[in-house]
Amino acid sequence: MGGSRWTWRLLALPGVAWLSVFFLVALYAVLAVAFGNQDTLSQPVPFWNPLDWNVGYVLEMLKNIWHGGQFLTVSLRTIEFVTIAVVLSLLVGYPVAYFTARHAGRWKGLVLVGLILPLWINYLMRMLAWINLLAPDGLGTRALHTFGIEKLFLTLGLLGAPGGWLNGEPTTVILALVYGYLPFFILPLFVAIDRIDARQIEAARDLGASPLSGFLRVTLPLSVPGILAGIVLIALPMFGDYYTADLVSSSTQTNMIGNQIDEFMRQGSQKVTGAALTLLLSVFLLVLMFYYLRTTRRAGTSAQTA
Amino acid sequence: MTWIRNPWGRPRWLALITALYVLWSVVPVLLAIAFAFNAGRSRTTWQGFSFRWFTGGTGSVLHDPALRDALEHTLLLAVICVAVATPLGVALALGLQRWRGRGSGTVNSLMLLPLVTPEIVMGVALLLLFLRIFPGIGLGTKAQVIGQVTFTLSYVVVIVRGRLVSIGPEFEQAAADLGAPPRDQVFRVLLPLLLPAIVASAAVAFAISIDDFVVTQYLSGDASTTTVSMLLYANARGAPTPALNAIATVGLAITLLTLIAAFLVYRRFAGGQEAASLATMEV
Amino acid sequence: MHPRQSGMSRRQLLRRSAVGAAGLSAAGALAGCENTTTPIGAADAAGEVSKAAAELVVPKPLGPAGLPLPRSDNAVTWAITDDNKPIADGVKPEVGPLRIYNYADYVDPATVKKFQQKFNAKVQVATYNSSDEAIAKIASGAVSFDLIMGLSGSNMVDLIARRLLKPLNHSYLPNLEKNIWPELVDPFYDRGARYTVPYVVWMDGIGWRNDKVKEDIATMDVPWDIFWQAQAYRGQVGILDDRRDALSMPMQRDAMRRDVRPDLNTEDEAVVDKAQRDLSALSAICNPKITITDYQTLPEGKTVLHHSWSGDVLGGVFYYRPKNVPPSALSFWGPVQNGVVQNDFFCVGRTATSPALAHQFINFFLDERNAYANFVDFTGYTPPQKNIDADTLLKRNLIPKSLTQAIVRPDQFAANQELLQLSVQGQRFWDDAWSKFKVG
Repeated sequence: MGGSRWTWRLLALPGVAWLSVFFLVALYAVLAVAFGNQDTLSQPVPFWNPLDWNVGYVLEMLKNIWHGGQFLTVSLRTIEFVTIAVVLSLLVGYPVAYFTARHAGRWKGLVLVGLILPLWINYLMRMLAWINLLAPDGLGTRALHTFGIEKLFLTLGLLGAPGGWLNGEPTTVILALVYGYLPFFILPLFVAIDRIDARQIEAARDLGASPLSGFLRVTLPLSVPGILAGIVLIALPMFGDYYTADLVSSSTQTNMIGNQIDEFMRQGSQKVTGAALTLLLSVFLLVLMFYYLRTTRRAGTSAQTA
Repeated sequence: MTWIRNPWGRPRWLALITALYVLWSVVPVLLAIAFAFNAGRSRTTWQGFSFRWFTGGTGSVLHDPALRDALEHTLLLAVICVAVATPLGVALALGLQRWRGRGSGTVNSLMLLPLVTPEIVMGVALLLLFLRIFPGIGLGTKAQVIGQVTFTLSYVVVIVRGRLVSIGPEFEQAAADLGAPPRDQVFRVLLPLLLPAIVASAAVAFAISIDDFVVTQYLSGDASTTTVSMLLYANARGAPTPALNAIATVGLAITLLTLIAAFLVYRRFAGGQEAASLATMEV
Repeated sequence: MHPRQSGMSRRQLLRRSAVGAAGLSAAGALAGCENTTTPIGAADAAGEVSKAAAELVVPKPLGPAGLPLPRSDNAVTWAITDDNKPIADGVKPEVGPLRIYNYADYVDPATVKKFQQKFNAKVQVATYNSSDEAIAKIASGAVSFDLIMGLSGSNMVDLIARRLLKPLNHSYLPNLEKNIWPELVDPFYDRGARYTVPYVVWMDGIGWRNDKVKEDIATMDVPWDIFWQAQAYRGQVGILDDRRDALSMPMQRDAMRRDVRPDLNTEDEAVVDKAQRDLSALSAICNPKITITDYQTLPEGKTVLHHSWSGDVLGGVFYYRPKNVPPSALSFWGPVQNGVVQNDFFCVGRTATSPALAHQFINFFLDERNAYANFVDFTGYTPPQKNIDADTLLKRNLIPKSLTQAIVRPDQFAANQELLQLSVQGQRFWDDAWSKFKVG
């Protein structure tokens, strides 16, 4: 079996080479451009050698944030939108996942199809569907009006004008984010709850716990890793989302950091600043990733001792 | 509340929430599909049933060059992406799974990274890569394919590895004991066993490629490298005709048919439990 | 100081000094790092300037490679260098294919087909999304084109600085003097039309649905004010998604109120900042959408008031209008003077392989009937043809009275100004202001 060790490594080599070149080097290019400069045609000039790096653009961006400029506004707004969207996803997603895992019975297969289907429908098509529905004369607008939901939103100050769902409302953007990313949250959560051994809950019941207590003290803690996995799975892409806000509202009031990056990179003339913002976003998300890794490890150990 | 009195009973309100969620999730798309068959130009008022936006005169998917080209380009990218990502991914999965010793953890993390990187970060990184490091390739079809392969690779690896784990090492060990060289172990023992997973991962890569948006848009060159997703994005906010719904429906139909076919193949050869886990994309 | 004396343990001291050393070296490394936001090549010297000139003349802003920035009061003639001469007279048009680089949907496919049939040559159109992208692509040498369309005076300096253009031979372009407005036959950004020939003209103005907007915008003292009074149309208002056009709008409004001529190519940071603040005030008033889809949303009624390019409103009427909306429901107003009137042009690529054919294409589209067809059948953007004016179109019932202002007249060209290239530093002011506005 002497040569077999290298057979496997050789097999992995093309894939590793591919990822190194088209992923790692690409990520390094972001660094090199963020710490680089641009020429007079606004084309980025990367500085490959870290010793040559130009901190001007990154410093300027950080100063903008420090002094409360537009980058701070957009970052805070993004955090606000994502947090609300994640909380809403949790409120809607957990009951659905829990029901499907524990109480669906013979409907389980059908419900699962309903849960899986949105994953494979083009995200943009799902947003297009809502743009059609929420048009001023759309079916959705009329339905929301008829069922009094529009009135509710108006009184709560979440909607500016009757029928104005697509007029740059942060409410619409947040709800669109929830709609778009919920399936990605529910599925891993369902899998995690599904895996919880029913016998542990039975044991709690046998020891006299009420159903509510059993849920709160056994099922819920055991599903925390699943919740965290789901949150990470939707929060990470949500932070970089720009197309949702762009589609359901092209207003400046709902610009997220992804929109700013997109503006700089594809439409604007400051690709270096765009790279710097991308760097900022990535660093922030890395912090989230590390936090998630640490808590899942801890949650994992405590669940095992339970 | 019934469920408190009956500990093993079915909580009605949970069922209600779930039903409402599934409806809320799926009905808008069904309506969008329905309006693709609208006889008139409206996307909000039903004006009768017709195929005009699919095969009718000008402005339909079949006859509007912009729509048709976008559909063709989308399929072209998907086919090439699958052709490249599947062998690359299968080889990587095999190598990773059987890798012993140093480096396997790093390579594993490297493989998983694209799955958790936000698309805009990938889009920006790849854009800069093809603008500054590989200007010879530049932006366009080649760049789009490379970008798509880079993240579909991870999905292929994850799916194939899942199957590898359940196969276990006995088969190739048996072959090795009988004196088969490593090459034969792979090609004549493992690959045939892995076939359902390979087919499934190819289908998943195909579906992901068709629906991809950010990376494809960032790496597109001129109007000839537009895909269906890019078309949807560019036109959704304007005043499009139901032809937009129609092309989205066509894309959806292709994706779903591919996935159902793959699911059935996988289930027939690999067993129901694994197929279910495949469908839920367990990592 | 001895570690024990200060009360620190040895370990704490070691840790502190390690951190201190790291901090010092980091500072040292940072100090060694470059720290600039001036683009590369921006500081190119303008060549030798005499002492007197440096002392006694306020320098005008310069563009890349130190080239002068053309302005209406500062015309520039670009030299024809020995290594880049125009083609000779009387060359037969090549077989092609003719490779054109243009914006998407910016030339009528039917008219292009006629050209193909007449000259028995294929035409390939590649598209770009922004002028910066186009110039960067050509400059990189990765692509080469025979004919480039859609660029304007604001890109002239970049094109010349990077030596991307081939000078034109006017013996192939008799239609230029015959049909085109005299103002544009010899433009200030290219005296002698050595490298460029005009394609279409447009102006920035206000497009609106007169059946949904109560105000009579055209008779207002300062029509631009309507945006700041548009509370009733909240959510149905649009501003152009273009940093120069959008930011120049509050500048025009200000100048109109004070009855002065604004400098829309200003590099004064204070002026640009005020324009941004004015624009940002609109968010609270009418929450405008920032798009360029007015040619669809106005006819469809999704927006009722839009900061528009004149060609878009006409294009909306000619091409995108739904059947139940009459053309007379759309209106356009453009300032008579001190506003933005701009043109773009044809130019031939330096590495063109079919230059004679490219010249023939230009002449073909300068022909009155082809320009007319291109205009009313597809683009909606006015060609600067002597014989195409609002009255002709009114007579032929192609445009309603409410849209006569959307046809640009030659005298408007002189009275208004173009949005032209700024110096690198000036451009940054506009970029920053735009980024601030976009965040809301």
